[in-house]
Amino acid sequence: MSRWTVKELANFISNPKSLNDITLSQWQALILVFRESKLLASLYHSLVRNDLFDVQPHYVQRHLKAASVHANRQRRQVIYECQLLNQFLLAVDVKPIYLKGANYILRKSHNSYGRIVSDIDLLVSEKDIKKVEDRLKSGLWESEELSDYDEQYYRKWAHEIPPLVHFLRNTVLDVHHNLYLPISGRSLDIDLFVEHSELVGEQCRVLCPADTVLHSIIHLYMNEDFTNSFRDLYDLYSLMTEFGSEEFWQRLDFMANKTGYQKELYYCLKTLIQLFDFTTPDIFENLDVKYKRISSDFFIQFIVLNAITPKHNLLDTTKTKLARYVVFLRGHWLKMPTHILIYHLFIKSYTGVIKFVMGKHFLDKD
Amino acid sequence: MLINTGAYVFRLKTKQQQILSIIDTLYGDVTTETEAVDFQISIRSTSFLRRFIKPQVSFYCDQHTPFKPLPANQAYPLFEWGMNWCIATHDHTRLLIHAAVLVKNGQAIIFPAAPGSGKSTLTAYHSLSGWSLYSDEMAIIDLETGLVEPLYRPICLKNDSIDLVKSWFPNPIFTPTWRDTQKGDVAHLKAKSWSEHQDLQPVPISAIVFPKYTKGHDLSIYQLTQLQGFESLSKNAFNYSVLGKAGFYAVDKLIRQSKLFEIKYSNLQEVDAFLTEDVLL
Repeated sequence: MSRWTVKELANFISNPKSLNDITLSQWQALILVFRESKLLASLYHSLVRNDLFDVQPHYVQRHLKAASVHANRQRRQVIYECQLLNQFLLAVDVKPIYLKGANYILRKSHNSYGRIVSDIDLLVSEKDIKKVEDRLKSGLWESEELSDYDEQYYRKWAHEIPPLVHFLRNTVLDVHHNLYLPISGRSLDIDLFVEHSELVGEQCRVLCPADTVLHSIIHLYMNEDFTNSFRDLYDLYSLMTEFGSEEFWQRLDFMANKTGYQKELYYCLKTLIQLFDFTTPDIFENLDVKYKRISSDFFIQFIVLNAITPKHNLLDTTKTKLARYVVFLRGHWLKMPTHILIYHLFIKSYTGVIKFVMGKHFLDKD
Repeated sequence: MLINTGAYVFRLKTKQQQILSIIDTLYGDVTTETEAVDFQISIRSTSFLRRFIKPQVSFYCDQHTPFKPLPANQAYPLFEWGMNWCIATHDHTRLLIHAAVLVKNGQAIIFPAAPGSGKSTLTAYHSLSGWSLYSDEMAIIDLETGLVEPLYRPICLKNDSIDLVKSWFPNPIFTPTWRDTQKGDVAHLKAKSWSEHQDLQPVPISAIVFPKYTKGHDLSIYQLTQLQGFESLSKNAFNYSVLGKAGFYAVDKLIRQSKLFEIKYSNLQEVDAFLTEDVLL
C-alpha cells in the first residue's frame, strides 16, 4: 500500500483534481486517513467546490457524503448553541467572542464547511470569568469530574477554566480568558483582540480574520499535541487564501509583532509554502530575514513536517513518531517554567504507567 | 479476514482464534468479491498484564475503541455489537432505525423495539416460518426511495429465547451461548444462507409494528395515530438527529405510507396470522 507524504495529502485536499487517478483500494486507505485527520467532510466540500464529487465512484461518494452529513449536524448545533449562549450570558452583561471552530462556522469561512468541532471555545475577559462560570453552572452546564491535579492545573496555570458539559445536550464548552497560558509568561493582551472583533451572522462576536489566523497559529505552533495539526494547518491555508488582502497581512504582521508571536507566524508561512500551492505574501520577506536560521529550517523540515503528518498507522514512521515526541516535549517546555514542567510530567507519566499496566480504564472514577 | 454483510463490508484483524471459526460458520458462505471495505475493525487484548489476569478484549473501529473492554470470552458478541456501532455512527446516507425487518410478498414490515420486547424472538420465529429476514437489529432505509435494504447478519437471541427457538427449530445453525454478558445470555442464530440473501431486493415498507411480548397475554392490537407513530419511530432511529431535515422528511414519508400498530402478544402463531392476513394485502 502506498504511504502518502503529508505534501501529497495537502495536494489532494487543496487541489482535488489530483485525486483523479486514485484507485478504489487507495481510496479505502485515503478515507481512513482523512477521517482520522477530521478532514473527510472537508474533502467532500473541496470536491464539490471543484465540481468533482459527482464523478467519484459510488463507494467514495457514500463515505464522503455521510461524513458531510455528520459535520453539517455539528454546524447546526454550534450555531444553535452560540445563539443560546449569547442570550444566556446577556443576563450577566457578557458578550462572548467565539474562537476556532465556532468562529469559522459563524463567519461561514470556506474551511468551516465540513469542519468537525469537538467543543465550542469562547473568550471572555478575565474579570468576568467567575461571573460567567457561575451563570453557566446555574443553567445546566457542569464541570466534568477532574483529578485534583488537573483541576489545579486549570485554575492556577491555564488560560481557560475546566471544560463545561451541557447536562442534556452533551455539548462541551471551553471558556477562555486568554489565548495562551499565563504560566508561560507569554499570554496576550486580550484587549487588542476585543477591540477589533467583529459581529457576524446570528449576532455573534468573533475575532477579525487576521486575529483569527494569529490565534490559530499560536494554537498550532505552541501546542504539545499535534493530533489534529494537519487539519489545523489546512484551516490556516484556507483562511489565508480566502481572506488574504493587503490589509489582512498588515494586521496579521502587526498583531504577531505586538503580541510576540512573529516567529510562530514565520514558522506557519514557511510550512504552508512547503506543503501547499500557496502564494507567498509580501510580509514573508522581512520575516525570513529576521528568523531564518539553520535551526528554524531544521525545525520546520524535520520536526513540523513529520509531526504534522496525520497520526494513522498507514502513515506512521519512526520519523513521525519521533517528531511528535519532540513536539510534545517542546510544547510542554514552552508552556511552563522548568520546575513546574518536571512536576507535571512526573504526575502524567505516573498515571500513564498505571494505565499501561492495568488497562486504560483502571483509574476511571465510576 | 473479510466479513461481508451485504450492505457493508468489514475487514477484521484479530489474534482471538476463538471467534474466527464462529465467523466462518455465520459468514463463511459469502462468495461475492469485494473491492473496497467500509470499515477496518479489530479485536485486541487490552494490556500486557491483562493477557494473563482476567483477560479482556476491546473492539476497535480503525484506531479507536468506542466501548469499555469486555471479558475475553465475549469477543464474539463484542464483534457483532461493534459492527452495529460502526454502521449506526457512520452511515448517514440512509435512515437507520433500531428495528427488525421481515418481508413477505415483496412488502416489508419493520419492528422497532426496545430491548426486552421480544423483537429477536419474533424475528427468529418468522424468518423460520416463511418470511424473509432482512434484519434483526437495524432497518436500513434509503432516504429518497424509502426502500429498506437487506442485511446479511445473524439474529441475536437473549436469555430464555435461546432455548425456546432451539426447541421450535432443532436444525438451524447456532453459535455457542455466552453467559452473563451485559445483555444477559446471548447466542447468535444464522437464519439464512448467502444464496438466499442474494435473492433479496430493496422493498417498500408497508407497516410499522411496535411489538411488546407480554407473558400469557392474548394478542392485542392497537392502531397508532400518525403522531404516535412518528414519535416512536424517530425515537428508535439511530441517526435521526444527525440527518436533520432529511431525517424528518424520511420518517414523515414512512409514517404516511405505513399502517401503524402496537401489539401485545405471547403467542407468535397469532402474530404471524395477524401480520399475514390483516397487515399485508
